[in-house]
Amino acid sequence: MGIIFQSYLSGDRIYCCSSCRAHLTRHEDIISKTFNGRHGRAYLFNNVINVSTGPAEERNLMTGLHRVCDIMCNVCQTVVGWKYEFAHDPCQKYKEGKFIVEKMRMTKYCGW
Amino acid sequence: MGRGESGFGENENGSNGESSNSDILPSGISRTEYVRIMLQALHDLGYSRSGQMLADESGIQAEATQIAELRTMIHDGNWDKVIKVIEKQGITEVELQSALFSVRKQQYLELVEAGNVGSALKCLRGSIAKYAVTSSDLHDLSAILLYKVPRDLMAHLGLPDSCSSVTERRRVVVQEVQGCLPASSMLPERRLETLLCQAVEAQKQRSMYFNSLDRSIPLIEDYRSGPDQLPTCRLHAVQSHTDEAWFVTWSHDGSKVATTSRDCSVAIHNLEGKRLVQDCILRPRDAAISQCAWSASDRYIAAIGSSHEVALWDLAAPDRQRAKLMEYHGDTVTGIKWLRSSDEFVTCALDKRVLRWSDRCISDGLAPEEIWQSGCRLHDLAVTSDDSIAVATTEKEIVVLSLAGIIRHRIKHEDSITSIHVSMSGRFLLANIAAKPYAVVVYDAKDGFSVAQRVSGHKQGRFVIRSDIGGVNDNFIVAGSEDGHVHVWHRMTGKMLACVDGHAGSVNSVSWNPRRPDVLASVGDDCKLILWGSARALAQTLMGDV
Repeated sequence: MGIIFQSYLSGDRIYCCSSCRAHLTRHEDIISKTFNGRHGRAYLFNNVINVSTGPAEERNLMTGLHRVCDIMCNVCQTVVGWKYEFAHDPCQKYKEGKFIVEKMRMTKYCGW
Repeated sequence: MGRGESGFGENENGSNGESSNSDILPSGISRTEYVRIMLQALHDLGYSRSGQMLADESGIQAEATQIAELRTMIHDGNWDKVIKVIEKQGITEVELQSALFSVRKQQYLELVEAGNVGSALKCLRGSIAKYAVTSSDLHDLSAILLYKVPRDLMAHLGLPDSCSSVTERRRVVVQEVQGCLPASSMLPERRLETLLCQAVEAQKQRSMYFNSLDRSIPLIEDYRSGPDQLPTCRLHAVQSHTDEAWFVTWSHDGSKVATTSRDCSVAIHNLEGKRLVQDCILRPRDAAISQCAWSASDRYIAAIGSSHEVALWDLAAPDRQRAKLMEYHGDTVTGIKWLRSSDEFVTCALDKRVLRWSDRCISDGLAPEEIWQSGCRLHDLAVTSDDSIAVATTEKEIVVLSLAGIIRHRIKHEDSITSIHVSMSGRFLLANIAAKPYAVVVYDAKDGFSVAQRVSGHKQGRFVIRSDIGGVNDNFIVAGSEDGHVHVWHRMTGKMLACVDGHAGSVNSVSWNPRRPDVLASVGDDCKLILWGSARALAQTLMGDV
């Protein structure tokens, strides 16, 4: 597998992967906290690092039909959420290119 | 192009009935110049009778008799006559000063060496003072007189090496004088040979695959080289690790190769002919090892991994397998490289510091010195030829520092840098970029870190893939890839020259042998270390030359 390349974020309020503590995103990148994933609460983020995307698929979510792909932590391979590729409904277009990370899959880095 | 002017096309206009249709040959070359360099070549080779016959038959002389005499006069040391001839040449004031200065300087130095202080002083006050280009030259020359052993001072001032003979130095004066005279009156030495060498060198450079240490200059045929000069043939595959191999590096003398692995060991192999023979396996502790580095003298090897420690081995010591573990970083150590000038090394770590470990740290356990504290984590390190340290930060930047910690340069990127490396020659800095189009960017350290080349075509981004530059003149860029191929590009043009199937799984690191441009090593996730050689070398062995 090689040495997995791991990026880091700078800042005070960083969220990391709950299983391997790889940096994922920052509190400042939260767009909305009112989402729900498969395992409960989830947040919509502007940008997430250290993740790779899976294959895109059409999913019928609570807000309508979207094309999404699951995102997996690069270091431990757990699925932490998904990324919106395309929204059929014009009101949902703002989500395109943004990431959902489930609250259960992330923890606060160094407590804050 | 003054042909008849300087008086050496003896029977000027009428030249000689037979040969002269026009002085310019169909190729654009002047007949007179052509014959002149041929005459010089014949004389250099010792065929003076043929030279004389050519001169008679063509009516052209290599140099005007005056100039030819000038050469002999300088070699004989007839300085005053030399001055007279030079003054008669009608060259510009600046050139004249410079030529006369060279001549008088040589005269002065010879007088000083002969111990003839009186005449030396006369020469200094009278002639040199007139021609000295700068007053510091004058001061340097006068200073020589004050020293008891003039030789040492002369060598110290960088003046013509006093160890070489008088004839050598007079030859240098001839060259300097010739540089001041117009090119058409006095031929540069060995002109024909120089031109031929330049032509063949240009042919060699034009061929992209040129990778041979062979210094011969073939004249009959155009120089040709092909992909058989690249090390793309698998010579030997060694399985010395039980888990993924992550890093490979040759020793500076090209005889040994060290590999590191996730199985927590460093394996050293010796290169013997076309095979690798295992030398030893070093195990510091139970932590995967990500990188290792040979010291400049190849005496020490240091390794780092997923711990906060640096492991060091002294291969010259009797207990060479015993690791010395040193922990001074607060977080995982991510980069380690030895300096080029001494047996000291620098490390960088996720604790945002760059530390310098002197030889006293190695022998006495002294704490290393902190050179730099960064604002962000550091994840790779490389040392250039003048011992500047290039550090890759997690903020997508490469910062170049001096050993004192002063930032010399900052190179910003759009995307994360997965690894950096400096070629064994110290001139080029390579950076592997994480995002599409997955490039390897080459910076020229001699040119203020400008981008020399950008190549892509391999796959990286998820894993740390390492690249290298090597071959004759650092002609080639080589990189591993996540799809198991080893890619080779031409540095000057950026064209991909070879893409060979190497390993089953990601090729994590490649290293080009610094002494043998036709040997390459690569390691990958299949735990193997593969030695690559050139098809040409293989063919030669089959023919019987070892």
